[in-house]
Amino acid sequence: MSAATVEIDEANGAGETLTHNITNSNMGSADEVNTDPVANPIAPNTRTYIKYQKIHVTNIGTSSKIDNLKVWRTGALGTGGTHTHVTNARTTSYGGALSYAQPVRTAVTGVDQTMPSSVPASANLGIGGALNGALTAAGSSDYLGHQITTDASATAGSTSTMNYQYDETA
Amino acid sequence: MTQIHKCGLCKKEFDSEEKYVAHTCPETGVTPADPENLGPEFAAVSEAALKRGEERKVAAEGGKKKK
Repeated sequence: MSAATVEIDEANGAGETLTHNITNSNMGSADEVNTDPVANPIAPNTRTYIKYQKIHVTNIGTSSKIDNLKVWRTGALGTGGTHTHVTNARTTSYGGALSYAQPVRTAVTGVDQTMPSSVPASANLGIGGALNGALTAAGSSDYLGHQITTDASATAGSTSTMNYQYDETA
Repeated sequence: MTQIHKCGLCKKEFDSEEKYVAHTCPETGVTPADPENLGPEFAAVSEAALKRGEERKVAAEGGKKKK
């Protein structure tokens, strides 16, 4: 018996380079995986580049199903202003699978929900375009899009944690 | 447009997901399909989760038998 092997992937660039098994979700003023936030800070009153990430099951092991995907952030966004972390993840009226486009620092259609700050009561990221979707073999979730906006009073730096959760059925 | 698949650990690039998953990463010595590729912590967490699941299943079966 073996558990599923699951990694987080992130897509960047015009031609979509999908980097597998990322090690952090740092956000800033560069479209790059594992962003260096010191070299690429977010200026007040701007947005970070949107992140396109997905949950990727590379091997389902002896499990029969992966589903009920939940994503949320824990920790404050920072002080000195009003900051918002927006996403396409939502528990109701899910907009279907988010299509990849070259990451931008402007608002993206459908990426307008406030990122939950605690575990959602039900799935908020889909598989195959639906919140009740499931993976029964190797495969990936829909893209999670998320972006931080800051206002003019923002001060430097904050650290918080992105959480990615799934149910695995033996 | 062709999607490039890049290993986040060894930085090698592949023209398909299948090739990425099949490669033995020199950083870990295993393929991305192996739990060990995500580090000893993930493998340990997976193993513990499986154990908890089995215990829950046994407990549930025991409960059913009592009825």
